[in-house]
Amino acid sequence: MDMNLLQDTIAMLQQHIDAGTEIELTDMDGAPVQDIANLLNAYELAYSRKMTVLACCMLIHAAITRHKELAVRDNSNLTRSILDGDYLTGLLYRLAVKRKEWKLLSRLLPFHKRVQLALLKDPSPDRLFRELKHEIDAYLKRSA
Amino acid sequence: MNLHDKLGTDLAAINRLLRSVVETDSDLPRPSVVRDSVLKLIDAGGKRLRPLMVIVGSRYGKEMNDSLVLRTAVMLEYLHMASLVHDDIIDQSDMRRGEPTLHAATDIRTAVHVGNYMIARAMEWAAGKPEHTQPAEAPLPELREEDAYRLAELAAMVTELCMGEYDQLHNRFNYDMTLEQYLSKTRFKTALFMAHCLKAGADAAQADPDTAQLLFDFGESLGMAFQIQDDLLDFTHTRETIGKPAGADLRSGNVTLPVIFALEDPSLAPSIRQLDAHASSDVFGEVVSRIAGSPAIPKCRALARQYGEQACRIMDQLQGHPAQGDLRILAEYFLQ
Repeated sequence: MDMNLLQDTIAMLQQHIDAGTEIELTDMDGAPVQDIANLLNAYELAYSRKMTVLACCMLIHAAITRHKELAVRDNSNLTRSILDGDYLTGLLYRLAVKRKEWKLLSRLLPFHKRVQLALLKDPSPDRLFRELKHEIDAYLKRSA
Repeated sequence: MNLHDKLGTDLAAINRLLRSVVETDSDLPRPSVVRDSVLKLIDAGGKRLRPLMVIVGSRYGKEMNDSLVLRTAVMLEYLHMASLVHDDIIDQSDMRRGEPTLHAATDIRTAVHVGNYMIARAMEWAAGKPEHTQPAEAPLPELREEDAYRLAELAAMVTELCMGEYDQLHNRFNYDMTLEQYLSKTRFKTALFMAHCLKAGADAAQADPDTAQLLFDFGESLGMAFQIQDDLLDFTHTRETIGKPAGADLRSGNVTLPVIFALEDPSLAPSIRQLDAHASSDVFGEVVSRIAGSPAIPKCRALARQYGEQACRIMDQLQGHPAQGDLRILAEYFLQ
């Protein structure tokens, strides 16, 4: 397990997140993200590119997680969850533009859309994160 | 005469394109709660101010690219509609334009995901290949990569909208909120979106960068004036005219400009400062009436006028352009 890639990517993302949001990426060392980090390490890619791809996946993961945790009876927490998820999604677009990763983004957009449809049927995102790994694998194979 | 008629735009064509975004999504079952909800949102109508601003901005361009302008207009309207869906949840608003809001008609989880779907699908549609975007009457040609980046950058504007909402969240019932904080929140919540719409249209039609920047600045000033006027309406209009109780912003802890100015009045400030989430509706009602009758209201109007005048000065710098009349129509609409 390459913890450097995970930690460097989280640090990079945290720098992009406006302090006013108070978002902390504390839940990024779970199996779904680690699986994608391992996958990236199996490819010959520049380290900065691995960080970008992983960062985009982390943003999707974090946005989905925030929008899954909706405290419907507590408006402050509900507001925070909605805003955090929206902000992280917006950051996905911003990062992809900044790092010139249009092809990656165009692959992730339909996935992110399908995730919303899937979550309405099954609120458990585990299967979706496995699909995300497959998407990234297919993308890397195609662009290799 | 309607705004779109004055601007010579075909609102029905925009609405058809808005519908086609959902109708051409092969991933979307029909019927489904997502499809039905989005189509209902579109059919609920609206003035389509953002698409109209994109189109007016495009008229300052050197090379009209109808396809890109329309993609941009539709994508930004989806972004706007999706942000309203999420805002209604945050603001606990159950009604919009006389109809139940999406979360009231379905549930909060559904509404959150429908909003997310709308942004992702609009971006996928706008940047997609022709076969994925086909409106029945006119397939859109393939998009250049640089234009796709421009659209993605616009979608990233969600972060700016969120910053305005975070400011609002952090300052619920904060009566020490400064004028600068209010203006910053307003800029993020409203003004930047309007600015981006005009500039995006100009960029899509290859306007020169100085012109595009002037349109951005114009839109920003116009947006500031518009939001201040909107905040005023919360105090000067009744439930019958704006569809929510007077002072609804203050009741939900949203400290707007009339409150900030009213707090400068020593005879009013203590009554305002006692208000919190637990205050009764009657107590809110009394304070709202006092603010509505206070010098804070004309002071707000004066600041809105200042931003309006600033927008007009910027507009004057674009004098002589054939699209100037359209920009003036927009200004008159927002500053009336």
